[in-house]
Amino acid sequence: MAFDSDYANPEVPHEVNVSASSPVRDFLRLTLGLFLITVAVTAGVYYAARWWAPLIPFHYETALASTVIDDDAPPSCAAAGTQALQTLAEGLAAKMDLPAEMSIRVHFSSSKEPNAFATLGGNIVINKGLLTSVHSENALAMVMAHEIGHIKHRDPIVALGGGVAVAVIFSTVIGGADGGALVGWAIGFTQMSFSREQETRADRDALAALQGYYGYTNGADEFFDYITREYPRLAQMPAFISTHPTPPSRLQSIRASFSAASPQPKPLPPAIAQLRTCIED
Amino acid sequence: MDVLIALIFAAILLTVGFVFGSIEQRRHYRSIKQREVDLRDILLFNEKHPPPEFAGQPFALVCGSVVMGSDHFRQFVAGLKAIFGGRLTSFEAMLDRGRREAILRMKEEAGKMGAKAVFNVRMETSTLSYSHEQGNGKAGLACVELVVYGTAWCAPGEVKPHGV
Repeated sequence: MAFDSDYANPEVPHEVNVSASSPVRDFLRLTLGLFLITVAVTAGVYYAARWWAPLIPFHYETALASTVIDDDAPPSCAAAGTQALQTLAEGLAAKMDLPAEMSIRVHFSSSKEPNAFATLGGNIVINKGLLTSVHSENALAMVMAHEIGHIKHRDPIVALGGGVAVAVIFSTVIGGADGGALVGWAIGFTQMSFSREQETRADRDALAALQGYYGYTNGADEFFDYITREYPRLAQMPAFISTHPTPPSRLQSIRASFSAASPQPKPLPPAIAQLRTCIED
Repeated sequence: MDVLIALIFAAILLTVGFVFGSIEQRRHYRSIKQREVDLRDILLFNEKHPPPEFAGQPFALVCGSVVMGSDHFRQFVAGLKAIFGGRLTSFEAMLDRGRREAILRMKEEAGKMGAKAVFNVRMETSTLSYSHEQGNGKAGLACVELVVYGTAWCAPGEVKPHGV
């Protein structure tokens, strides 16, 4: 029969249908590409949000802050002291050229950590730990004016803008995080991530405010001197790691503003000094 | 921490998928190539009508089908690739293996009836997929069924197997 010689199935190279490329190489190339794109987009959105945040009117910031900031009346032992802190802050703010709609509110916290921080809506928190580590009103005023400086330059809302941008992108990429946790995380940003430029600028404004309020800046270094002594590790941190200018260089620039003949720093007013013994009920 | 656990779990799944998927793929290709050599004497044509010599010979519909699934790793790579577009090369081997396996199964069926040629060979592919999770960007299972069918003819003058 002629069948076998007339028809045949040649052996065809089936491999043309399968690419030689390795899936592992594809995987590495694609994940690296996606990672770089994510980083670039995150950085872009982060800086865009920080640039855009100061354009938010201050009264929106105040309204936003009122939703997250605990506005309870201070404990009875802290009522007079908090009022005295508020008066000091207003006196300093008057020397700082704040925009008309901006107002400062001081809160007292019984935290033992020697710290104070500025947050959204012109709110400043003064820790008990800060009051126990300073002896003069001038030293307290320096820290307070520094925080008012942050508020004047809208640093908390800038940090919040960046924090929200990063949080939103992360939750999109990773998925799952709920809205409440995101906002909490973003608010956390506002209390710890001021850049060194922002800190230096706040220091400069604070010294100018002290000069305007007291007529001299002597005594402004007490708190930073205390931090340098009590937390030597913090002071030794290289300047590019820590966001606050390191205390030694900070001390130098503060002391550079001192005048040779000026009165002794004022002691803490009794109402404020009394806060050191206040135990929150 | 939760994120870390999820990442480790995903990495384990991807590794398992890649290792076992690759072993299975190599093993399958070895078997396919061997059987292709063994069944080479059964000829395939997509021509509808057999030559006149086949007139009067027994013929029957033969069919081969196979369901192929991708491994987790190759499916993940294809998902990444789908973001940018282009050839989903990680699925090519799966489909190639599926087509060749389906053809071999059809040839084996043709061989059982003593056929020497299959005419009017047709091939169909359908996706079997379901999507789990609600529109959360997760693709369903990458899974296809390949069906090959044709008319198998016994060659003139061949000894017909009993019963056909």
